[in-house]
Amino acid sequence: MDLYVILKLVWAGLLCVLLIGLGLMVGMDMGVGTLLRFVGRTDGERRTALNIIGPHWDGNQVWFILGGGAIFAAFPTLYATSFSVFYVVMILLLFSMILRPVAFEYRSKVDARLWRASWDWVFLLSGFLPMFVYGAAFGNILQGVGYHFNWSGQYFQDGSFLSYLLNPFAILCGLMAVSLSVMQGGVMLMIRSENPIHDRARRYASRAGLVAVVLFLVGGVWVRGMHGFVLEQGNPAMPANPMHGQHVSMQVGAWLNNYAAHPVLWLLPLLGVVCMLAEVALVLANRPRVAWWMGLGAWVGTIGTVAASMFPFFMPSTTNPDQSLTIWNSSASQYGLTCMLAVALIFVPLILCYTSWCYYVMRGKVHTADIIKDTHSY
Amino acid sequence: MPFVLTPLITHSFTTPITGMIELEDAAAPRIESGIAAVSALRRYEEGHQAADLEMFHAHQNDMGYGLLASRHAPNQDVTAIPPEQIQSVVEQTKPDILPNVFVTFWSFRLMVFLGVFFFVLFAMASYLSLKNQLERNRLFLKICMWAIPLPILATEFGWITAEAGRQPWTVFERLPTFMSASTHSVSYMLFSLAGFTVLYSIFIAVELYLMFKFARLGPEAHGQHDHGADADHLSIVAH
Ligand code: HEM
Repeated sequence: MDLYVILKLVWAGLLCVLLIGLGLMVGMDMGVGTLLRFVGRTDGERRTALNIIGPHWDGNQVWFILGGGAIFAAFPTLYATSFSVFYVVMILLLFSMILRPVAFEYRSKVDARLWRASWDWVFLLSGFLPMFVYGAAFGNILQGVGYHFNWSGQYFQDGSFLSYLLNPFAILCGLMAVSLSVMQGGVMLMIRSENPIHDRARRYASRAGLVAVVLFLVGGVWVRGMHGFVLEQGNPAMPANPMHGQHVSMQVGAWLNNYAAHPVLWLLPLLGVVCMLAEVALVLANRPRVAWWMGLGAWVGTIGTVAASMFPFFMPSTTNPDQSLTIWNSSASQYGLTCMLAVALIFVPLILCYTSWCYYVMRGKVHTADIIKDTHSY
Repeated sequence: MPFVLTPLITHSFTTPITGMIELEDAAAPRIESGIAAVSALRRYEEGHQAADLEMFHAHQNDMGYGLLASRHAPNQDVTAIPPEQIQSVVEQTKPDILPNVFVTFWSFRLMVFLGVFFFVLFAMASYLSLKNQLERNRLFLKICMWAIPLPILATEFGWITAEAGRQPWTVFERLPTFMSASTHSVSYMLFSLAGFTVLYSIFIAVELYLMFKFARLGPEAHGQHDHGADADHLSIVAH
């Protein structure tokens, strides 16, 4: 196989890894944000919950930066087009994510009821909304997005942002991502908190896990009746230019074609469902540590299912399917992908190392009594 | 400033620096050649004729100038310019190749002025500190207080220098700014701009409230056990 094709494939795989990391780690922290007002009834309890993710949340945010950075560097056409197609939604995501660190830093600086209650609502908003948008974006790209390019490569949007937000399938996917994040956040709270936070987190985590399984299965059935996209003509080694050399058709149920061709791919959705159910069971059995790792499987299964269905598409276009963005036509140059790969091979393992080390150092329970005394913490 | 500007721009002491009119005149043939490049590209996009591709390759280094000229073409389409009007489009495009000199000139000078001011301020601070008079010199402390927003201003002026100075290009001689902007409607831009304005206005209000609150409490409130220099240790409220 052509080296350029291999590099494109490796980077598509890396993008999946980063998106999984994002869902798992950022999702977990956002789940804690969403749950904050529910698992903590008193100020001390809420501060305990915040300090459980306190040492890690900004480190975990690296996955978000890395996901965006990887799309930017490895698939620049996809980056520019997708961020622009989803402009309004992206801005909403950005606003809520701008509010989150501020809430972390300011909440405990003033000891007043209204002040802290306001920031608690910000945590709810900035935990729920980004994960919802994250999931909804997958829903939207599965359905295809309205855009085309003109003669100069200038991109034009053909759909309204309302059709991306007020869209039943996208809402389903958004809620699915929120459920996974709430489950994972709840599990993290269980690992590092005592009662009453522990038991409340247990209740929410198990319910969220069940909701996630149901939404995932409903989504799977839904996709059977939805139009998918088929790459009729296209060359993996083609120069990365969405305007030429590709022919794409839209067919109902086409997102299941890859599974029909390679039945082994069914293992991915299976992995997702099994891990979600196992996580719920382990949560109920009070084994949050093992349950946490099931969350990894759940995200690998979910993102893997989307990737397996859509391969080699990234973001199909409904208004000009031939210009759909695929792994083959939206990547950076071979030189760019090679340099970036060297960087990724150094830094992704480094991130994994320091993240695990941080969690190891900050292991153990966070006690509400200590937090109340320590006014310097979140 | 011949011995300052010349090495800054040309990395030599003797190369003459061209003026605006010379730059505009020098651009005229490139604009004309650029129009040929863009026209060829557009025709090639439709017809895939080898002759158009050849034409494009012959002029491709000037393509950016052709894109720049499209602003003065009918419907922004350079292929639609009648041959007898090409010269007039070139003339209209010539002034576009330069940035707004007034803005770049003054924002750069304001930035540098502030930079020099900071240098003097720090020289003063070092001097007073060595003489152990830093806390007692009321005038100096007042200046420091009022200088708090100045680095932000200097950064803004520096940013304006860079952004205004690189116009009309996003990628020099390749991609004009007006072509690299998205095709989104004005209402989208209003939405994000209004959102940012509201959000950051709230932030600055909250930030100032906290800053004044903790400044009023003063350094004494930090207590003995604190590492005074650690800015994170602001949460002294409940001490
Ligand atoms: C001592 C005097 C200073 C000199 C000689 C100087 C020089 C320059 C130059 C040559 C540029 C590049 C303009 C271009 O793009 O061609 C620049 C940009 C800039 N300067 Fe200054 N500067 C000075 C002080 C400052 C100070 C004090 C600040 C802020 C505290 C500052 C902030 C900036 C920023 C933010 C940019 C834009 C960077 C970018 O966006 O590319 N400068 N400066």
